[in-house]
Parts: sequence; C-alpha cells; structure tokens
Amino acid sequence: MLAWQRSAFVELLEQDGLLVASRGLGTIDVALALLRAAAANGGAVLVLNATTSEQTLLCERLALDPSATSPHVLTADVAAKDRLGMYRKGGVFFASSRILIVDLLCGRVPAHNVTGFLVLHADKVTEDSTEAFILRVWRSANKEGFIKAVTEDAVALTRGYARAERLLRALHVQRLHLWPRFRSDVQRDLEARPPDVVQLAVSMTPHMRAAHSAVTELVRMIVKEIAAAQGLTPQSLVGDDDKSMLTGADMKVRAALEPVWNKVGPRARQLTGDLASLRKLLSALTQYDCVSFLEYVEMLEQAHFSRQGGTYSVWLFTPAAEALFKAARARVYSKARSQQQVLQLQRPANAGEQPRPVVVISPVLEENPKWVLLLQVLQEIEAEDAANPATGGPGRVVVVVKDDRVVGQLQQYLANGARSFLRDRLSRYISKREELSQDPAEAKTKLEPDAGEPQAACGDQWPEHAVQGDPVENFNEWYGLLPAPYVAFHSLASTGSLLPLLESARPKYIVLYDAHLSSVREAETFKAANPGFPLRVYFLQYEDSLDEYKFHAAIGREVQAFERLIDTKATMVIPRDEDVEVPDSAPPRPPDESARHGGIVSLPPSNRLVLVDLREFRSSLPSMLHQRGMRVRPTHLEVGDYILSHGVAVERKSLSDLIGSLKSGRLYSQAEAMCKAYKVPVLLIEWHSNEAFEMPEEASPKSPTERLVLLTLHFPRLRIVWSRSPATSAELFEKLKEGRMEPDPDALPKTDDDEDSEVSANHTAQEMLQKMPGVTSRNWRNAVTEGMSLSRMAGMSEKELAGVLKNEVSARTLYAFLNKKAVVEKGDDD
Amino acid sequence: ATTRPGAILVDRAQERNPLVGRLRGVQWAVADDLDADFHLSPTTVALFLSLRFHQLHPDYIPQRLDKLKDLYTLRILLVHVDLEDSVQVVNEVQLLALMCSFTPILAWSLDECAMYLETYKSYERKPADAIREQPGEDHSERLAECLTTVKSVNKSDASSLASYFGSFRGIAGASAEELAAVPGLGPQKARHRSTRLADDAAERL
Repeated sequence: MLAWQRSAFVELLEQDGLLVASRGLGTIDVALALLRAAAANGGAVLVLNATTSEQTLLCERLALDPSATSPHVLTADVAAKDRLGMYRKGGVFFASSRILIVDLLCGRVPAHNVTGFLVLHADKVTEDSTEAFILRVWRSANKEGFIKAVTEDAVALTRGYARAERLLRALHVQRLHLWPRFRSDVQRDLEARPPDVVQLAVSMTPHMRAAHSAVTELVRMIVKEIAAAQGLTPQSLVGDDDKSMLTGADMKVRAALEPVWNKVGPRARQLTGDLASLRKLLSALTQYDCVSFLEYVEMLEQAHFSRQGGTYSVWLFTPAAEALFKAARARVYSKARSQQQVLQLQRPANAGEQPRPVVVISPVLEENPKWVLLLQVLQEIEAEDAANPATGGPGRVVVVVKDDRVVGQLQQYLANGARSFLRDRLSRYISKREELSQDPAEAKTKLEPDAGEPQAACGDQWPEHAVQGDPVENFNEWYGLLPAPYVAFHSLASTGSLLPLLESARPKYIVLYDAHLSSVREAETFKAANPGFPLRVYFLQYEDSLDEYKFHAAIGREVQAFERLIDTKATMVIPRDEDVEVPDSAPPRPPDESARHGGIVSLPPSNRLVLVDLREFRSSLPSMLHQRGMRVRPTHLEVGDYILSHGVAVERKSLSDLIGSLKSGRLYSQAEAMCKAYKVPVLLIEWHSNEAFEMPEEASPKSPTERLVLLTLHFPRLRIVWSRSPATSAELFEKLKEGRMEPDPDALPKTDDDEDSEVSANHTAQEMLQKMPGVTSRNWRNAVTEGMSLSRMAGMSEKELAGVLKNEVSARTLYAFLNKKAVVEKGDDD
Repeated sequence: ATTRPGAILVDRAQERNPLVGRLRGVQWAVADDLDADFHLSPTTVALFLSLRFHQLHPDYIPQRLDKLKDLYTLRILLVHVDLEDSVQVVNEVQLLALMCSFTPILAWSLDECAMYLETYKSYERKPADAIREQPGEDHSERLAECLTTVKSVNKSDASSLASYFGSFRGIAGASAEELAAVPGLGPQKARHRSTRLADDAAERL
C-alpha cells in the first residue's frame, strides 16, 4: 500500500464515511485492507456494488489470508434456507442487491450478526436505489455496525442538487474523505519516481479529417438551431470553442434545457438526440476501422428512413452530411465500375427483365494511422529488448484499448496485416448488404481483385497466437512458451481497472492506445508501488481529435469536481443517524395537510402490510413504500405486482410500458387475469418525475388514449390510478389501504415454483418472451418448465416450437416473428 | 331520459360547458334531468370535473359520485387537469372516484376531454381487437419492444441490432463478440449491453 492509501484506510477504519479519490488511484487496495480488518473481527461483512472483476480480485486476495474464513459469493444458486446459516457463520459476503433486499425483508439476515457494509462505486447509490433500501432496513435493526463507502467518480458527486449531501444521507454516514490527485500526500507518493512517459501524436488522414470537420459543422449547425429556438446563444449552451462543443454537446444542451424539457417540443428533442448520435459517430471515426465506420454511417441513415412517424433528422440533407458520407466512402472504396456509374445501392430501371447487373468496386481500404504507430512502437520495443539483453530479457507489453472491438481489430491487424483484415471486413459488409436486401433485382456487388497490391509486411512477424486477447488468466501460461515480445491487450470497457493486470503480468511497457484518465493514473500508481521496476508508458493520441479533447476535458472536470466537493465539505450539515425509521415501531406520521376529506389518518400499525412481487424489486416503489412505514413482504405473485389489501391487486405500468403493453395485447391478458382473481383490480399508470405529466399524443393507427378507452370498456371493473411519480404511488397506496383488511399471504394461489427459482430466473428473458407474438399468459410457462432459453427457441423449427408451447397456432405466430427479417428501407441514394 | 342511439346525451346543466362545442366526431343532444353529465351508452356514463372548479367547490363532486355509485356498468369521472401544480388535487379526486367505484380519466385539455367522450361513444360496441394480440402487425416495433426489455438496450440500439442481424433469430444466435461488433452500440457499454443481451438470450428462462 502507498502511504496515502494507508492514511485513507486508517481514516476510514476509525470512522464511517465516504472515501472519494481521483480515478485510477487504486482505492481497491483500501477496500481490501478494510475487508481484512473487518473480517478479522468476526461476524458477517457485506460488500455491495462490486463488479465481477473486483469481486474476483478481492476474493483471491482475501483467500490468501489463512486466518480468515474464505469469502462467499451469494448467488441464487445458494438456496434461500442455507443463506441464513451462512450469514450467521460470518465472513465476507458479495451478494447482489436484489437477493440481499429480499433476504433482509424476509428476515433471513440476522441483522446483529452483520457487523457492517462496504459499498463500492458509491456514486451509483441514490435515495431510491436498492442499495439505499438495504442500508435503511439494516440500519433500523442495527445501530452499531459500520458503513464504509468508496468511489473514484468525483464528477458524479457534483451532478444534481446537493448530490453529495444526499448521498451521505442515503449511505447513513457523516464523513466525506477527499483524496484528489492534486492532494500533496498523493503527489508525494506518485511523483517520487514517475514512470518514463513517451507521448506520440499522430495525424488523421485527409479523409478522416474531412469527416471530422463535417461532423463538427453538423454539431455547430444543430446547436445553433436549438439555441435559436430557445432564444439563447450557442455559446451559452455549449461554450465558445469547438473543443468544449464537441465533448458532449448533447449532454450540455440537455442540462441547459432540463428545466424546460417538457416544453421544448419534439423537434428540439430530436435534435438533441441527433447530437448524441453525432458524438458517437465522431468517436467511432478514430475507434472503428474504415469499413465499420462506413457501416455505422449508413446505419444511421437507414435508421432514420425506417423510423415510423417520428420527426425527420434534417441534418441528413445538408451539404455537411453529404461530405461526411463521401469521406466515409472514400476511405473504403474509390469508384464503382459497371453499367451504372454508381454505387451498389442503385436499383436498375427494368428490374424484372434484365439479368442482375454486376457492380465492381475498387477497394481503397484506408489503414488507421494509429495502427501503424502501434506497430512501430512494438517494433521499437522488440529492437530495444534485443539490444539490451542485460535488462533482464524481453519485457511484457500491455496495450490498453477502449473496448473489445478494438482488441479484435488490433489482433487481426497485427496477425494478418491491414489489407487482408480490411478486405475481409469489406466482403462481409457486401454480403451482409445483399443478404438483407429485399429487392431481388438489386445489383450484385463484386470486389475488384487485389492483384499486385503488396501485402502488409507485418503479417509473419506477429503470429496470431502470440497476441493474447484475454490476458489476465493466460498471461503466465503463455509466458516463456512464445517468441518475444509478449503483447497483452486490456479492454477498458470489459475489465475496467488496469491494476490487477499490472500486478499479475508486471509489464515493462504499457501502450496506452486509447487513453483514459484512470489508466494513466493506474500506471503511475503501479510504478509508485514498485519503485525499482523499470516501466515505460507510451501514450498514443490523434492530434486535434475528439479523444484528445475528451482526455483534457476529463482532467479539468475532475479537478473542478474536487474543488466543489472541498467547498461542500466545509459547509455541509449532515444530520446524525438516530432518526432512521423502524417500520414496526415508527410513530404515526403527521396527517397530510392536503387531505381535506375525512382528515386522512395514517395507517394503524396493524394495517401496514403490502405483498410485493419479487420482480418489482427492480423498481424504486418497494423502497418508497418502506420509507413511508409500510411493511414490504417479498412474495411471488402470479397475477399483479402488488397486493395492498384483501382483494386489492395492483398492476404497475410506467407510461412507456403502458403504451407498449396496450399495443401488444399483454395488458389485455393481465387485466383479464386480475379481474378474474381479485375483487378490486387496479391499473397504476406511473410517470417518472422527470417526464411531463400528460398522455403523449401518438397516432397510427390508434392512440394510447383510444386503447385505454377500449380497455376500460372491456374491463369496467378495472380501476385506473394515475400517479405522477413513484413517490406519489407510495402515497396513493397508503390511502388505498385505509379501512381495508390486510392482505393474506397464505390465501394466495399456490404455485409449484419455489422462491429460489423465482429469484434466480432470468426475468429479462421471461419478460422478453412474454412480449412476443404468439406467446400468451397461458403458454409461456410451458417454455419455462421445459427449461428453454431464448436462443434455443429462436433456433427451433415451427414444429419444435409447437412442442414447447403445446399449441400449433401460437407456434406458427411465434416462429414467424422469430424468423422474420427486419425491414430496412433504404433512402434514395445518389 | 331516453337514449337516442348514436348520440351522446348531454345534461342541460352542461350545455354551456365549452367542452360540448368541441364534440365534433359524434352527434350529441341536450336532455333534461339526466342523472349524469354525459350518457355515452345505456351502460356507460360520465361525470365531468374541472380541478379548478373542485378547488372552489370541494363538496360538489362527492355528492354526485355518491348518487351514481350503484348504477351503470362503467362510470367515468372525466377530470380536466387545468391546474399547474395539480398532483395533490389529482390524488384527492382519484381517491374519491375510486371509493364510489368510478374510473378516473385524466385529460389535460378540453380537446382531450372531448376526444375521450367521442371515443367512448364510437367504441361503444367495438371488439377488443385493437388491444388484443394481433399476429404479424408492426414487426419492427414488436421486435424493438422485445429487445428494449434488456435495460441497457435503447431504441436506437434495437434498430442497430435489427438492421445488422436481420431477425430475432439472428440476434439471439449471435455471440457476445459478434454483438459487440455491431457498429453504433455505445462504445463504452457495447460490451456490457451485448453480453447482457447474449447472456439473457442464452440463459435458461
């Protein structure tokens, strides 16, 4: 541990609090030290919000301790009845929040055996989150245990009103411990022996530049239009220069318009969405290979033309967009030779009578300049290792990239050379186009042969097997078996922190192919922890690119965020924790002032039980019910989402769910089942607090309001409740319970599924299945009991599906849906 | 009052309600001494309430609701939300309606109110087809609805996936790597969302 990490650990150990450190400073080591210290005291310690890779790392490290019991990972594979015993025995637990909240509410967690909680990625916790719900339930039963929280995202803590204070309250801690990179203790640690850093800048190709300026132009245009419509200046929306405009114009516009978002109209919303697409496009320009980039550009175009009833994206029809399409194409192929002097999209005039025309295109296939730079760097490393055998032999190289897409791209490039890789992509692109095309008369496309083109020289130097994509586990296995140098890729999107890899692989060279603030800091941290180890960091960047702007913007934002947090810390008042409500002994709430009729009295303690379906724990409503002092009992409900009182069942629908399920017929069958099973069936329509409180006008062929009318006509007993927000829903539930008998959990229809399979079930897939045509509330359970998966069902024949669903008509409908080609309408190409 | 087939019967007291002038798609006739504001069919009636009016006369609606609570199959309380800060009043009115077995329907403009009345009249005998499952309709929309069940997949991701793989079969059969290769899935989260989708599709239901 570095000196600052030790101080941070001691500080947090002595007093509960939230540790906020700069990105990449290695807070996982602090977390590990805390877990070791806590585990040594006996009792159960629960870890929330750990990612899979963090969980693996922490488990490995904790298992090295011979004194402590080995850590437990609680998944739904551990039977509910065994979990109680495990919590009693103690140790470190990693549990998913959904399992934990159900266990807590069912009384399966002995609150006093749990000595405390460690919350990772604390920035993700909000008042309405399941994590906050867990802490509240536990705190109400255990006032002594500890709560420690850690995050490396300072910026997230400065978004929104009093975010930091509210977070501390949700975490039930009072202290904020701030460890920015610029704090002197941290600087001392990291800058004593910094790694050797080589910065390499590379220019984009002329075509890339052209695409870049076209997108910049488009963004400027759209921002101008949005600003004009709101009576603002573009500068006030996104700042004065290109750099600040390009780094997240959509987010800035969204933030600026937030207070009036309900009133800006569909056009401004559409434009803001377009800004987001353009930002993604700009980052794809340097990330993707040229063929994928073209594919992406064309996909945006197609998505636009196949959009139904939406507002049109005007930017597609501007000269700048034309320039963008041209540049994207020019990187892939130059010109098509054929009967028509046009691209393969063009349809021939008399399709029926002529044989399919053939379009031949000659490939250009531009290499990404960074690829060449990477190859040069690797060659330099190789040469250097060869020249200095005294430095302890060849060093390992870790190449840090953004995501798996880049890993695949670079592996192929290094193994086969750019030309062969890109040709391959291009022929896939062409065959995909033809496969998806619904027009049999469409021109066939052929690639001009690559005769005489020199193959890239790097092909033999980098045999594919020497380049490892999945490094952490395999690195040591491969080490020593292969010719030098050993290159491992690290994908930031899939594995996150670089530190575990650095510690296990101990590379002498790190190539930051895609720079992220945290990787730079992690390299520094690793070097500081291993001062004697030679480490060189290559930093590769495109000049004047979005990546470069983003990198600098990220540093600036973090510094600003810490400055604000330092101010906040000096002035904030966080109430002590004695006011946590205990549902079973809470004093009655004061009567609601707005209630005029009958003076609403809060529910007597004997009438506070609500049965909640296990699936509903993904939403924030159960937490809000608990906050209002209701007793939330997780139950497996066959029909409805909540049982409020005897005979009163509620189906909750968010606005978008309502619209979708009215259209698909799902709500019809749910209403049917509810009316059959319950005396008072209720449909709760719930808006998000940031949605405009009104029914959206959506025509073609029937509006949601028309469908709602039809629903009430066919189910006159169905009661509709309109709720402004989840908080309002909780309030309404409380009032709906008044004067009614408590629900009786034992009176529910018995099902053969036990709760474990319900918690472990793949709810998303089940829900997806239920949304498919042909699947009804009656037959979908057959698929579940048959042990099906969606991908298996998707691959089945109509006959096999009939066997699964036990119904031939349904199977035919479902089969048609699964296999039908999505229609992609093409625009007229010129 | 006698029901004139095809026409909404409007109580005399509502004759000057501006909402009545906005009833365009259906016939209507004024009648005296109706028990409800609007008779939409022999079994369906509606009461109209403006929230602003309710704030001034809170005792009006409970009485009217109470009088009708055991008559007619479907009783609508059509609420015109004409207050800016309406949540508390909306809740109060809804609870009153529910107590008397009324179905509250909220509308945010008089045109919307009129539209509801017209729809109730014209849908009087309409079968439930439009809200029951229709085979083969709106394929791309159904597909998008399915795919966006995965929390991290938004509408534009869904259309990217559909246009890249063609059918649900193609998407469900794709590996996480193939999914991650789809251009346009947010670069940072591509891996995360595609694995979620791949896992969810491959995992046991």
